[in-house]
Order: sequence, then structure tokens, then C-alpha cells
Amino acid sequence: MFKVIEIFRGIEIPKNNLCRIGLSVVLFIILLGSFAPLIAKDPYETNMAKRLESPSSEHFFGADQLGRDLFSRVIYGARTSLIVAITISAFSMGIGCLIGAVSGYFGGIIDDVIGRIIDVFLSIPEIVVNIALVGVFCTIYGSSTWNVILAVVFTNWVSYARITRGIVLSLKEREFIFCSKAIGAKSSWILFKHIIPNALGPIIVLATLNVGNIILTIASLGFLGLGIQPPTPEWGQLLNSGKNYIATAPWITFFPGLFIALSVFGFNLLGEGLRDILERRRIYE
Amino acid sequence: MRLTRRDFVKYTGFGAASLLGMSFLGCMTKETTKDTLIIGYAEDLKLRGDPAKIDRSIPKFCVLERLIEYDLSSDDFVPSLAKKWDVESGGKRIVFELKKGILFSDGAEMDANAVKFTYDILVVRKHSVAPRSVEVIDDHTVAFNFDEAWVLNFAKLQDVHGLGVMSPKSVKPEGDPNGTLVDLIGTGPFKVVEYVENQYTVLEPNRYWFEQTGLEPKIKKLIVKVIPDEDTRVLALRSGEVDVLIDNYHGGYDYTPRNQLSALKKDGFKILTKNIPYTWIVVFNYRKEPFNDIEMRRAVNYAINRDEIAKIFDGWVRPAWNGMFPPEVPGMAEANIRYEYNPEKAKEIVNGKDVGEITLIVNKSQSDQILVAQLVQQQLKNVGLNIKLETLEKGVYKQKRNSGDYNLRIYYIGGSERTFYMRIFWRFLPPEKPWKVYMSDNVTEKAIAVVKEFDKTKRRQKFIEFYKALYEEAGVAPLYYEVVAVAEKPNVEGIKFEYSEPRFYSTYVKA
Amino acid sequence: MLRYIARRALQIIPTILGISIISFSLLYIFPGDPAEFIVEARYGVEPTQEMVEKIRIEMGLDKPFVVQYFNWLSKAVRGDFGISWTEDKTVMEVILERLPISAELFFATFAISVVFALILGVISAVHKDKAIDHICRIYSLLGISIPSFWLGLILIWIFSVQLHLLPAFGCCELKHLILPVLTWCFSFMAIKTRFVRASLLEELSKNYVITARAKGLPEKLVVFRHALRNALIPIITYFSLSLHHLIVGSIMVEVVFSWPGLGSLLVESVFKRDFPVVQALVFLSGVLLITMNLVVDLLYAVIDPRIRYGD
Repeated sequence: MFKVIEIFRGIEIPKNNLCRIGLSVVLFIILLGSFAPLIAKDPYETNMAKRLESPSSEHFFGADQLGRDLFSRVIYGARTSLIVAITISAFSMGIGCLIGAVSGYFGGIIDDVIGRIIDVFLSIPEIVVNIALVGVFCTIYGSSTWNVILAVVFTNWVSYARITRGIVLSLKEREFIFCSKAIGAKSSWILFKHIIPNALGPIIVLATLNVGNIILTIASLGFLGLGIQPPTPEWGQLLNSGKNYIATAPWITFFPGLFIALSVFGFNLLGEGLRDILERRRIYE
Repeated sequence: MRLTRRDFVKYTGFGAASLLGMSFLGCMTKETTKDTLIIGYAEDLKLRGDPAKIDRSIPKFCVLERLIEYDLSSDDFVPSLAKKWDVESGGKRIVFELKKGILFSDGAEMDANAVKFTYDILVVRKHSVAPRSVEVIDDHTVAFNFDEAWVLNFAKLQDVHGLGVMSPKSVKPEGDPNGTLVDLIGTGPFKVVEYVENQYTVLEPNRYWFEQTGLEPKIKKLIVKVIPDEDTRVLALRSGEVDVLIDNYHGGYDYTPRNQLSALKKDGFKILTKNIPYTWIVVFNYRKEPFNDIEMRRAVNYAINRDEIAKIFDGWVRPAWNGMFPPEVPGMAEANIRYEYNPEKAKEIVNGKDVGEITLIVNKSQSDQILVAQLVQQQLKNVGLNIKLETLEKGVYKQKRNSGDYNLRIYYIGGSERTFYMRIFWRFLPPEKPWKVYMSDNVTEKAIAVVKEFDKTKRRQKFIEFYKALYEEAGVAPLYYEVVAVAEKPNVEGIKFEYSEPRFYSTYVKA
Repeated sequence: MLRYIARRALQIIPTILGISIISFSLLYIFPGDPAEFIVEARYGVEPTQEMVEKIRIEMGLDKPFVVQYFNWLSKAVRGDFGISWTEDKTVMEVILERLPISAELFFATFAISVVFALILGVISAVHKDKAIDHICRIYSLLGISIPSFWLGLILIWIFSVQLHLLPAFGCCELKHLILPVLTWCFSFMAIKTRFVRASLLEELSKNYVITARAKGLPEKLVVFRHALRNALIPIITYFSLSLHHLIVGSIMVEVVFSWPGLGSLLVESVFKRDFPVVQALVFLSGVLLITMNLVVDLLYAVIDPRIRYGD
């Protein structure tokens, strides 16, 4: 955490407009998700007497087809989306950065092979592979959250690998690495002491933007009925179940979508802002 | 080969402009006049290729006719293309005398050869409903031989899995039951004039049928549009793309979602429904813990509030309180069965037992069943059963069903009037198959007794015994009684139900 | 020049091989026997041992994985992806049926997006850091944040449900095209606007622009005759790259509006478990992307000889 503040010149974050708005949106969504049990009611509790009730002071977002409180389902949906998105992002980051660093650091044939693999993954439209893969999983094994995670990580690690590889390649040529090597530093020392801290900035920017993207991907899969299955509340899937009622109960569609848009927008803003700061810092240097 | 920057920009600009033009080329125009009725339907009618695979609904009640029909209210098999019949060899052989002067839409006469050809399609495929053999006795007499002396043989003949009597000219090589379907020719009120696989079928009145019945066709064209996804179908009706939505109610899927009927009605669409002997149930995996225990099965039956489930569909369906079939089914009312909603009793039963996590599986191709499953899950949770709900792809559902990898599943018994007897066969009779819902020595024996009995009055008694046995053993947990539904635009008139199937011969569309 | 083309073309071969491996392996995540499934999907009956055996031999499923892969690949490069598992047609026929429908949606979107992205991008860049620029920037962020399926549903709610102006569903007439195109344009245009703005800003910061301004050229001429003209090259490149969206580029839009194009085909095939179609779509979309890349690179080389000699 300390490192992050240092990289982005912590003080600048609240000064940057994009960052400020983005960060507040992201924090808002995270808080909603984490305090869901305090804010919301039981998202599973059905009440057929309240079926398709419109928004009111008791049910802020109205009620769904089984009379469940939509507000609670949307809030718990934030939880689902965030947990899954962050898990995917973490796995991808771990795998991607490792592969990228190895490729860039060792070079030679390893780099050639990994470079090719990265090329391959970059040239297949991600969402196509995601749908195909989740589809294959879920039409064969049945859908589970792990299928979604696995399928998205499968395509998602590449951007991390590419960016890490690029950074490592450029750092390798810098003097301080040469010096370290000259005085006999071990590979692992160079990696942890020099390369990782330097790569951290761009990777954090990427990760922020990435979480937004993943939330969108999960929602898309959910909307297609391929993602996380009911009764677990998930935004895309809530939207999917509401689209039949667009004429009679548009709120079932409206609110989950609004939250998807809001959170993706938040992460994108924050990512952009962080990138701005990083770029400006580079210019200073 | 050398291009300047300026040229490059110029050419690409030209390219972009031509793309813009191209994009509007694909637009076509289409007429919709009031002498055309467009039907939205879930499945391709499969009018080419294997003649045994023809769609089970629309071709059968528009293009083809059957030998006999089944009337649920009187529990009788009634003549259609057959005039009368004799039952021989104690029921193993049925000899039909066909009506004379019935013409196929190509003008040829419907005769015993056509009937033999039609049923041979199943015989050569060793289909489960196929007779053992078909014999032509003379031009208008045809005999069917069966292995068993069951009244079910009639049901098999009138629900030829996907077939009605068709002309031998429908296939190539002509008259070969192994041949390929090239042009479906039947005796029904409509004939096929155009078929585009997976897109649409155009039907026109068959003038021979109308001449014979003395009716006047009020519509010139019937177009059946294939729209597989249920939501899209509803949207198509709303947007005016189609005039009518018809259920494919052969099996448990592909119908107009019942949870949307009210919304459609509110927006001015007409909804026609007819009760059918078709029930949505919870199937127990009765071979496996914990539902091999009759008490546990009872607990589920006590825990389910069928009124609430029917409420999902705003009263379009009836809650299944009085048995596994609706009261109009032969013997059902007399059986005097009444399911009870008693969560306290259910809790009592469940309380003492350590049953762990219970898996409920549901096929997710229907939004209706996903809703039902979620509600059932909540209701069972309320009595202390810990239910894990798995919403599965059609294929995975089948796999899990086949491998017995579940505790509870949402499923259906019965069907349209015509399939009523067949479904008793398919759901309760041996051999044990994954799509059977409950079998025990007692229940199976009583189910067999039903499909054996030729005498109507005795059969009713056997029905009652069968229902009671199933109820006693809590073999299934009925949820609600299904209907068959037609959703139509307000200007569509004259769709009638016959034997719970919608008919279009007197249909017209007001301007 | 020919040598350069040959070298670049050779370079994409390993990538295409990689894509083919990924698309082919999709089938092999399948546990158990695909032959059994094919029998069920095709004939709608319980598979018997002999039917399964027949299919297995017919489809070459009895051979080892590597052999099957090379069989598949050698046919795939000739455009033969075998027979659909659920329909009595070749995979290519199934795809070609849907391609024109997808193309209609895509080219309409593409044309409109290009025009408006250029306009918005230029306005934004010229008025950098003014209110209008901020609006354009926020729009370009919103465009990539708002889920197209939600936007589509909202548009349906407004134009079909409330105003009864446009159909929510259907295909191939102009009135059917409007909502899906609008929905897709919203995100498609956003990314492009952003790119136009960035490219033009970069060009505007270059020395020759400063010179041009210094010699007193009117700002209009500076921007349009000099900067934009040079910026157009990366812009056109970027635009042409996005042509790869032609194949399964708009899955969500097609699904929301039930547009029967390739995106819907992908989703349908996934649900029907028609894996050869899924394989083919994954493979083709990858190949198209690489090919577009190659074509753009070659065009670049045609315009700018430095590239072909340089590296």
C-alpha cells in the first residue's frame, strides 16, 4: 500500500479529477458490497404477495418475479461481481506477470515461445473465447462460478504478461540493472528489488482498468445465461431475468444495469486517472 | 505498386463510402396483408430429411391427419381417417377400415398403402411406439399387429411419434420408408408450399380438405416462423412480427412463457388457454438417500405451497392440490386425493434427520421453471431442508438426470390429450429409464393394469387405484397443472382448440 | 517488396497455428465420447453401440488427438470445418447463411461510427480541455463502460415499449436496423473517438505544426490540411483493423435484438453444443484479426518504404 502511494504520488490522487470521481465510485461500490448484510435484506427471501411490485419506500428498486427485494439483490450482486472480478484479476495478474517477467528476463528461446503464445491470445477476440469456453464448461459440467473464473483467466492473463514483458525488456537495458548484475546480485534479488517495483505502476493501472472490464465480461456472460446461475444474485443474470418484463416491470432491468455501468465506469475513470498521473510523473523524470 | 499518401487516403475514403452504401443494400421489404397469418413457433418443422423426425405439433395438426383421435372427456378413441375398427387376437391385432374418398393435397387418394407406408417409417426404425407389423388387407383396410394386447396400442397409433398419415410420394425414393422426406403431402386442411429450414414454412389451404368438409378457407396463407428463444418469440409478437404464438407442447419446453401471459394480456393481446392433462412435478431420486425414504418424500409434499407456485403464473395455471393430474382426467376426481400444505408437519419429519445438502436440478431453457425451482428451493428451505439449486443447460440436465446425479428435479408428467396414455407409459412403466419418474412394485403393477385394460369402466377403476398407490407412496410431488396456450394479436379470430390442439382452418385476421 | 510481404506472411503462420490449436482443443475438454453426443443430437434417439461406432469412424474420432488435429487443420485451411452436429449442413454453410446478416449490421455501424468518430474526435482535439472536450472524453469512457445489452434494453423500452416507434426485434428491414446499430455505435464510436482525438493531439504537438502556426497559417489550415492529414494514416489503420468485428463482433447486441447474425449463431451453437460451429467461429475470428493486421502492415509498407527496409 505504501509503495502504491509512493508510485502514484499519493497526494496527486485526490487532485486528479478522474481519479477523484473514479475512486469515490469504486469505494462506494466496494462499501456497498462489503456491508451488504447491514444495508440490505435477505436477497433470497421470496414473497409472492409482492410479486413485481414497483419501487417504493419499502423496496427502493421494487420487487422481482418472486417478490424478492430487488435492492437487496442488486447490493448482493455487487458483492458477487466484485469478488469474482477481483479473484479473476488476481489470478490473471499472478500468472501473467510471472510469465511476462520470465519471458522478458531470460529472453532467448523462452521469450520467443512465450511471445508467440501471447500473440496468439491477443489475436483471438476475448469475449468469443470466453463465451465458447464457459459455454463448453457449462453445457458439459453445469455452470459454476469456478467455470466463469477459469474461462476468463484463460484469456485475461495475456495483457499482464505482455505489459510485464515489455517493462522487463526495457529495464534490462538500464544502467542500474547492469550495475546490480556487475556486483553479483542474484536474479531473484534483481527481480524483487528492481524490476517488480518499477513494473508496479503500469500493472496497477492495468489491473484497475481490468477489473472494470472483467465486471463487464461477467455481466455479459450472466446476461447470456452462461455465467453465475440463479438464485445467486449477479447483475448480468438479474438483467437477463428482467428483460421479459421490460414492458411491465422495467425496474428489474434498469437498476442492475445501472450498477454495472456505474462500477465499470468507476474503475475506468480511476484507471485513466492513475495512468495520467503515471505519465506525468514519467515526463517529470 | 507505389501509392502516395494522398492516394492511400483517397482510396480508403472511397472504400469507406462504398461500405456505407453496401450496408443499406441488405435491406429487404416484406408484405404482411390480412390474408396471411404468421405464427411464431419454437422449432424448425423438419420437413426435409428423416420423415420420422417431423416436428410433433404444427405439421400434425395442419398438414397431416391421424387414423384416430383421443377424447379425454369421454376417455374414448374416436375416428378420424379411420371409419371404424375391430380388435382381434385379444388386442394384439387391430384392423382399421379407412374412410373412402379422402384425398391428399396432391389429389391422390388416401388408401391403405399410404397408411402402411407411414407406419412402416417407424417399423423400419424399430421405434418404441412402432407396431410389430402393418398389413394391407385391401385398398381401404389395414391391420396392425402388436406384441402386447394393450389398450395402449391405440394410443401408439394415434400418437405416432411425429407422424400423421402421409403420401408415399412425400419421400424419395417414392414409397420407401427408409427414404428421405422431400415434400410433406398430407390430407389435412393445409399443404406445404414453401419450406426454408430453420426459418419459415409457408402453408396454403388444401382445397380438397375444404371441399370435403364444405368449409370455406378464410385465410390464404399461413406462415410458420421459427424463433427458438422464448423471449424472442414474445418480443416478436409484441413487435407485430408474428400474429400468433403457438406452444410446442410435445415435451416440457418451447412454449410461451406462462409468467408473461398476464403482461401480454394487459397489453391487449388475446390469450387462449385450454386445460390439458399435464402436470409439473418435483421428481425424487427415489433410489438414493434421502428420498428413498417415503417419509422424506411426504415432507416435501407437505412443504410445498402450490398456491404460491401457481401465483408465479398469475392464475393461468391451477395449483396441483388434488393429485398428479387435474380433476377432469379419467378417475382423478373419484380418487379423492388431496395434498396438504403443512410446513409444521414437514419440519417435524425433517427435524430428526441428518440429510445434508440436497441438490435440486432444473433445465434452464425455460424461464418459468427457473422461477418455480427458486420458489421450491425457498419453500423447502423454510422447513429446514438445505437445497442447492443447479440451473442447468438442457444437455447437462439430461446428463445429470441420466446418471442419477441429483436428489430432486423439476419435470413433467402427462401431456396433450393425445399423449396422455403414452406419457403414462413413458413415465411409469418398465423398463427403468432415466425419464421415468417413479417406479415401485406396487405403483408399476397398477400402471400396467391401466394400459392393459380395454374396458373403459374397468380402466377407470384401475386409474383410481394407480393414482392412490402413487399418492400413498408419495411417488412424486405435483406442483401445478399446465395448460396449452395461444397468444395472439387482438385482430386474429377463429383459432379453435380440438383435442387440446389449436386449429387454423377457420382462422382469419381482421384488417 | 515481395520479400517483405513473404516474410510478414510467414510470420503469421505460427500465430494461426496457435489459434487453430486453441479452437480445436475446445472440443477436447469434452469428457467422455463426443460420438455418443453426436448421435443423440443428430438422430434424437438413445445412442446404440453400433451407431456410436459408425459416427466415430465417420468423423475420425477413433484416431489419436494429433492425427485428428491435423486432419481438422488441413481441412480448415481450405474452409471445410466438417458437418454441424445438430443440422444436416456443413459448418461453412451454416456460417455463410448468417454472414450477410451480420455484415449488414456491422457495415452500417462501421460507416456511421467512422463518420461521427472523426467529427467528435477532431472537435475534441481542437478544443482540448474545453467543456466540449470533457464531454467527448466522458462519452468515450461511458461508451466502453455501459453494457451494450443494457443500453439496448433501455432503447427498446423507450422506442418500442413507450413510444411504439421502432420494432424491438426482427431482421433485415431498415426499421429493424436502427436500434441495434444505435446501440452498437455507442460503444464502437466511443473507442474510435478517443483514438482520433489522441492521434490528432499527437500530430498537433509535432514541430511542423508549430512551424506552420509560427508562419501565421490560419488554425483551420493547420488542423485540416496538415495535422489531420497526417493523423489520418494511423486513424485509417486503426479503423480498418476494426473490420475484424465483422465476424462475431457484436454478440451482445445481436442477442439483445435477436439479430440472427454470427454473434447469435455463436451463442446458439454453444447452447446447442454444436461444437464444430463454435470451433470454426473462434478460428475464423482469430484468423480474420490476424489477416487484417497483416493487410494493414503491408499497406503501411506500401506507403512508407522505411518500414520494409528498416526492420
